[in-house]
Parts: sequence; C-alpha cells; structure tokens
Amino acid sequence: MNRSSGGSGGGNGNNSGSKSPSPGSMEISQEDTWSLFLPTNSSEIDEISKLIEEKLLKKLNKQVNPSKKFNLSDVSPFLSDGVEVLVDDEFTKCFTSPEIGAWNWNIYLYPAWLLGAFIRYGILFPLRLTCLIFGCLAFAVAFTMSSTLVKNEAKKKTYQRKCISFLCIVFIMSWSGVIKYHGVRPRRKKNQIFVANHTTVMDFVVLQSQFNHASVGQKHKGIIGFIQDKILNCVGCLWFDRAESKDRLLVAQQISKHIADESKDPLLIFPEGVCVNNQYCVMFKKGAFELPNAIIYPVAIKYNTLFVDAFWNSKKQSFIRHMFNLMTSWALVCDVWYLEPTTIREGETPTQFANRVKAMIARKAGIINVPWDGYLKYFRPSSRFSEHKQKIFASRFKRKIEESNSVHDDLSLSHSNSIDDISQETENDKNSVNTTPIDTNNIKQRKSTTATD
Amino acid sequence: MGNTHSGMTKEQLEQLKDGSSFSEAELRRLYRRFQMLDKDGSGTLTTDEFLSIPDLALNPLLERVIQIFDTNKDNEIEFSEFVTTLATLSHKGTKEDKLKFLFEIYDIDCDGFISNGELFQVLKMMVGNNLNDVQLQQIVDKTIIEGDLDKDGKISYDEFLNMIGNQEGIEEKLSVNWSE
Repeated sequence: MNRSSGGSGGGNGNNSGSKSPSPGSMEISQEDTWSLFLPTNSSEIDEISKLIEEKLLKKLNKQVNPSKKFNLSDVSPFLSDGVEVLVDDEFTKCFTSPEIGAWNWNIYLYPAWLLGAFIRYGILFPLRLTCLIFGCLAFAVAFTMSSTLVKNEAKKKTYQRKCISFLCIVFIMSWSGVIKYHGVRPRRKKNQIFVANHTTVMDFVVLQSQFNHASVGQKHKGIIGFIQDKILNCVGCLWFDRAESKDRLLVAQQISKHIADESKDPLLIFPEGVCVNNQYCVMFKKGAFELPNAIIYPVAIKYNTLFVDAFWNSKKQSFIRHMFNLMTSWALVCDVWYLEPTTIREGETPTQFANRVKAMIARKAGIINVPWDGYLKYFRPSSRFSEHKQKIFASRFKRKIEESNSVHDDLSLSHSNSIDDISQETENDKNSVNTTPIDTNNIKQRKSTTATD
Repeated sequence: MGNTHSGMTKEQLEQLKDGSSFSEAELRRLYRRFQMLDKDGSGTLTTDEFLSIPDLALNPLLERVIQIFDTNKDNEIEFSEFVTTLATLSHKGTKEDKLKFLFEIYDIDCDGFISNGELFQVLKMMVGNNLNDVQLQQIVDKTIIEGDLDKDGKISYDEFLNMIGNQEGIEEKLSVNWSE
C-alpha cells in the first residue's frame, strides 16, 4: 500500500537521482537511435520485485528450515544466488552476442570456408558497397529533387516516401536480406500503433520497406540528427530527448495526436527501448500502452543467426562496423510476423497490457521473455529492489518471532520443555512486536493443527 | 581492451588449473566472463563493476561476498581470487571449504570468531529496516547462546561446525548450480 502511494514520487526521485552521474547520461545520447524512453515508474519496478520475490521464495521454500529458530545457514540462499549470477546472469545475456564456436578447423571445411570468406569479402562486399553507394546517391538526388522541385505538398510527400522506401530496399539488398513477412499487413487505421521487439536499428529499415511508418526516438546530433531532421521528418517521426522528462510528456501528447490523424503514417514503437540480442525480450516500456484508445499491432521480428548475428551491440560495435558485419555475411535471413491487433482489456493496467503484448511477441518470435528493464544497462537498479529482498527475508523472522510468541501463549501452561529460551524474551517481545492480530491468529491456528497432528 | 594487462598466459592457466577444481574449458569460460564484467579492462573487478549486474546489485550480502572474494584485501578482485572462491562454491568444492566460506560471511574482522556484533551486522544487512534492533538482537543473542559451548560469548569455527556442520543438505545449499 505504502509502496504504491508513494511510488510515483519515489520513482521520479530515483530516476533523476540515478541519472545525475555524468558518465551514464553521456553514454545514453549516442545509443539506440530509434528507441523510446518513457519513465520507469513504480508499477514497472513492481514487476522486477515480483520476479525477485518469486525466485527467492522458491529458494527459501526449497530449503525449509526444520528448526524454527534462526539458523546460521539461513543466509545461504543469498550467497548461492549472488555467486550464481556472478558466473551467469540473465540480464547480461540479453545484451551479449552469442559466441560462435570455431567450426572450420577441419581439413575439408577450412578450404571451403576460405573460399567462402573470399567470396564474401572479395566479391560480395564490394558489389554490395557499390550498390549501396549508388543507391544512396540515387536516393539523395531523387529526394532533393522531389523536396525542392515539387511544389504540391501532397505530391511531394508521396515522392519523398517513395524515395525512402527505395532507400530501405537498397539497404536490405546490401545485406542480401531475405525477409519473410507472415500474416497480413494491417491497413492504416485510426489510433494504430505498431509495436515490435528491437534488435538493431535495421529493424526500422526492415519494416519501412514494407510500408512507410513513423517512429519515435532519441534526438541526435551530427549526421544522424541531419537524417532525422531532413529525411525522416517527412514520414512524421517524432524525436525527443531522453534525458528531458518534460519532453516525454510532450511526446506522449504528440503521439496521441499523431495516431489519431489517419492521414499520417502509422507509428512504430520499440517499447524495449534498447537493442536486445534477439534471444531475449526485455521489459516493455508501458508508454505506448497507456495512450487512450490505442490499438496495438504487435510485430515480431526474428533474425536467423545462421549467417550473421543481427544484434547491434552498440557498446562494442560502431554503427559502421555493424553495417560491415551485415554486408560481409552471406545473407540476412529474418522473419517478420504481423500479429493480431489488440487493445487494453477491461480492468487491465497498462503494465499488464504491455506484458501481454510482450508475451505474444516473445512466443511468436521464439525468444525468451524476461522482465528486466533494458535501461538497467545504463542505470543502477534502485535500492528499493534490495529492500524488497530484505523484506522477504525479514518476514520469515517476523513470523518466527510471532510464532514463538503464540506458541508461548498457547502452550506455556502445559509444557515448557522445548521453549525455555523463548520464554525469557517473550516479555520484551510483546512490547516490540506489534503485529496485526489477524496474522497472529492465522499462525496460531496453523500451530494448533500441527500440534494435534 | 584489457588484454595487455590481463591476458591469461599458459603458465597462469596451468597454475589456476592446479589450484582449483576447474577444467581448462571451464576456466576459459570464466575468464571470458571475468573480462566481460571487467568493464574498464583493468584486470581486476571492483565493487562498481559488480553492481552493474542488476541481480547482483540487489543482493543485500553483496558487500560481504565481495570482501570474501578479495582474499588479499586490496579492494579489487583479481582473476585468481575470482576463480578460487567460485571453485569453493562449485559442485566440486569440498564441504569443508563451503562451510568455511559461510563462516567468513559472518566473521567480518577475520579473527576466527563470530561475535555478537558481527552476527548482528550481517543480519542487519539481510533484513534492513524490516525488523527493529531489539528484535534483531534477540535473534542474535539466541543464536549465540545456542552455539556458544565454551561460554566466551562468541562462536568459534568449531562451534560453528558443531551447530550446522551436520545439517542435512548444507552442502547443497552452499553449492551453486550453473549450467552451460
């Protein structure tokens, strides 16, 4: 109760607090161009605490302590838990590229691999690069012509969009993209928002080539900023600054306005907010899901890792390097599923709605659904999570103390053999432990049944 | 990045293999993990780097665990320290080592005894503000009285073994299961 009421305020405080260290915020501005940042709030935090609770309770239950007293080994779940994640944790796994074992060290395979590598780097890459450069040049010419020469606004827009679609096809061709689209591409409707899982900036290209859509993302400076301003604005993309919380509110309003206007291109949002390695699906920011009347069109994108890993690990790879990887592989194979549109159900909170859509996408794409917030990449989890852990652990003792009290109350007259030590402190306990009577009653009942057994 | 500083040589690998129960493949895997955690490439892990794993940052006993990892007490954890402690908690670690590890969690000042104050501190980390100090002190006192056979007011390692050494499944509890 306390948590939820004080939640929003505390959440904001946490956000601004954790953002203040400059290295973290510096990093952000350069990452993940197309992602949407909306505040992490208390309900999202609850999601993580729930996970922790489940995990911990499972462990605690597994290690039921037969004696009712505190036992020095009671802390071991925390230890094994902590050390386990040292070696392997799910969160980091979401953002690491899978390791590729060497398969080519074999007298038969090695020459074949060498030949393949020669073809890929020596023939395919130059060809693709030339195509890409010419494609870009053609695009630049066509785009500038259509934006300067065509006077009719509506016509200009159509030409510009055609140019963008053309550019996307050029890009997909440059990595020999084999993209299979499943399901029917939905037609433009009011309040429509496309929501997809996020692996690489190229997600945008992959979907854009099918139909024009606008996106929401981080405002950038430099060359990406130029592209954002001059080129992508014609499909009505909304840019904002992740660090500005005021901006976010504005964006929510703009999004609402945008989707309500049917003449505009549909909106595509990557609610994960960060690029994930396409094996996991991290928490969906609920921003897109709390807009009134929004109809969510989930899109699941799954890249085949057979030839190349499409995950853009922006911490390790520059964008150019990422492009180079894609362009020197045999092909980029990818599946795109358009799922059934869905709206928020009655009685469903935006967070639940977001989770439901996420589960749909994860199931379709065959990726693992984890509740971590992708922004933990940049921000440390708030101390409230560990407080939650402490609470679970403490609740166990609380019960023990209560139990020993009630045992004492019940049985002190009949036999005081096993509870010698407890009886000494019960006097103090009574003052200090102010528990709700209901709780104590429950335990008493449970106690008495076990006693009769 | 940190290769110049922290590249694992053959001798080092051999040494670690002899010193711990890990196979070469396991060591290599751990080393990759170590390098990944070592964000600044310094060849050592610091508390800050540990905190970058959300799951770990949430662990109330993290501070204690790091201190035990850090056997030479320089506030940084080298790969050899990393491996040694992990070996203790792996399935191949002996029961003795595991219990020793657990004992060290409580024995903050490393004097070979768990004092009343130390137990209180550790328990405080575990429960935070959810129990008041009086309640906590009761638990502590009770535990110490129960285990303290020679009545010196603190628990020695032998007394500690006596208390929980024969507990069923204690070895399991202190083993970490990590799959490939």
